[in-house]
Amino acid sequence: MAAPSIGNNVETLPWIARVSRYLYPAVTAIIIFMIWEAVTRAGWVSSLILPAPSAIIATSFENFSLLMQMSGTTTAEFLLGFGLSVAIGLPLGALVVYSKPIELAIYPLLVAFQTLPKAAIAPIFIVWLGTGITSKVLIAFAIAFFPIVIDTVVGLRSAQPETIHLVRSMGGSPLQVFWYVRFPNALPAIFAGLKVASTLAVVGAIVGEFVSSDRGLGYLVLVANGELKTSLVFACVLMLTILGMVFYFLVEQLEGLVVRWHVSSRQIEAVGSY
Amino acid sequence: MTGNQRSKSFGPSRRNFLRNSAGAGLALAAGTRIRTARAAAEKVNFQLDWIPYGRHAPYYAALEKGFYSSRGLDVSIAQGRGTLQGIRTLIAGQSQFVFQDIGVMMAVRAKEHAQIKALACMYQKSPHTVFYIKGHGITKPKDLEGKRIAFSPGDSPKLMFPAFAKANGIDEAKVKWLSVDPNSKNAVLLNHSSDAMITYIFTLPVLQKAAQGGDVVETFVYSDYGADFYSDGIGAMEEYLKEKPEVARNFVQATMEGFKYAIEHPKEAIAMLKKHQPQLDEDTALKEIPLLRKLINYDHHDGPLGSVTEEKMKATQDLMIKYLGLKNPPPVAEMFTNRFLN
Repeated sequence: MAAPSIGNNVETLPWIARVSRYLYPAVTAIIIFMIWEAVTRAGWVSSLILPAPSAIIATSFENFSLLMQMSGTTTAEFLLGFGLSVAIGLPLGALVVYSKPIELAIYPLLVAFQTLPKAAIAPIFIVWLGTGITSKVLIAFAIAFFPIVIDTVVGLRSAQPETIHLVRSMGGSPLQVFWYVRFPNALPAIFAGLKVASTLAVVGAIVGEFVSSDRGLGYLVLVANGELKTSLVFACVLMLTILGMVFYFLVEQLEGLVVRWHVSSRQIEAVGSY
Repeated sequence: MTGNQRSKSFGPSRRNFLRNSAGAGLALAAGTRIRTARAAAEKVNFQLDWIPYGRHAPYYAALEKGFYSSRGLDVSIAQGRGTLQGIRTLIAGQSQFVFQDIGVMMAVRAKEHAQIKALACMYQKSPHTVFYIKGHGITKPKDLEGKRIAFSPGDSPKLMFPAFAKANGIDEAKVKWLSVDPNSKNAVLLNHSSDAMITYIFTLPVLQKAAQGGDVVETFVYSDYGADFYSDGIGAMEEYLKEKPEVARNFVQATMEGFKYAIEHPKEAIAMLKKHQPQLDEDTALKEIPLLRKLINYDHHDGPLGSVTEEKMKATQDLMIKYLGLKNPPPVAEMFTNRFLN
């Protein structure tokens, strides 16, 4: 049997290590929540400022349909923003790697754009694009696409030159070099970029909603905050956390699928070419 | 004995940590004692209701002219983002005084049992206003049904809107509310992203100046349309007033002195405000002072400037009960005190 180690493959760990992996954070979280509940019940903190976890859960159930409705809007915003940043970020990254003129022209501008704090230019986006969903999607895109571009560039450049030379020496075209060498090598980095971008897209959607909106979880946070319904604010934050985690988890699952598919499709090709 | 303990007298060890922290503790205690002996000024945080504009010049005048410091107060004036946010800082103890809407103070006191008291009232008539652009389908309050109104969550024009709505037969469910960051509300109205916008009357000069393409900005002022009530004044927690009545008296008196100065010497007061808010446009700010003069009844006040009458306080409360569904209202006499104005 393989020696137990903290690796990605949970299934091969002995059962006790596997349970510990979930048990430790769960117990810590439960302890934190119990302390939180005790502190708020004892009245040491005003419920206007920090409501008890039990109150937050109760509010979540009371306002379930409202929360679902608002989540729908915010989810649409960050999914579209993320989709746009992938659709533009990946090809842009590839272009930067394959074309020196483009790299020289675009890269510094990208860095400059990235250093602009998006929260500062969000109001300008709203003035240009109005207060509807477009501005939120574009703010989410603006925040999320840079990590994708960078990680794509890094990933595509990480292929070993020897492997590329080998494929070329066997008569491989640039496209085959890309498909069999650069792209598979880049996948880990690309997915790292996608995972970062997934959390940033949610931030972008909320920033947009904070500047101006008439629906969504960010809007609800502001309105609930403005009406001193602090439990509802926390319920929204809870919802946002869940959404962000689910999204991140989905991207991770996608990574597993894509990597496995790519490996197996190359194996089939390799067998087929005999 | 764990392997972590070493008996060396230098480098990381528990003994050294204790030694060093004891030394640091002594130094800190000594320093604090020295500091408190020298510092006589009482540190006070004063939170405004909004971004500082011309209407806030009195407080900065009081600051710059030394009205606060001559009474032993070290006042920090903080920008606000709305009534409830400001009241929250008061409850949390982050500010000792706030400049906020008295009606909302009353509502918070009733609902959350937070013992807030009004010490003076500056806007003796409500300055809450609906701004809209002429020629886009709004001519009377009822036309607001079906239109988009820009508001900032937690600010008093939105909280008090039901009073205006009921007084004018507006079905609030038919209004489309658009939440907007306080700093972007003007832009959202002027570029027609919203049909109307609610804030205080003071914004009128700014809007008129920035209006594009011949747009004319018009208003429905709540107090002209059946919803008149006490608006912004100075608030503080009862506990604090019991603990430090002298500080409260000094603060209120210095602030009223600042008001008198600003109304008598508007240009100088605006210049003092500009020192703290360099982006301020002095001309538009100057136009707010006459509006301020009217709101505080500068030329027609009975009793000390800024004093609150039980009659109008009761009227404000009745409005809150009738239009805003205020329950368990605190006894009117408990809501305010004029004793610091003398």
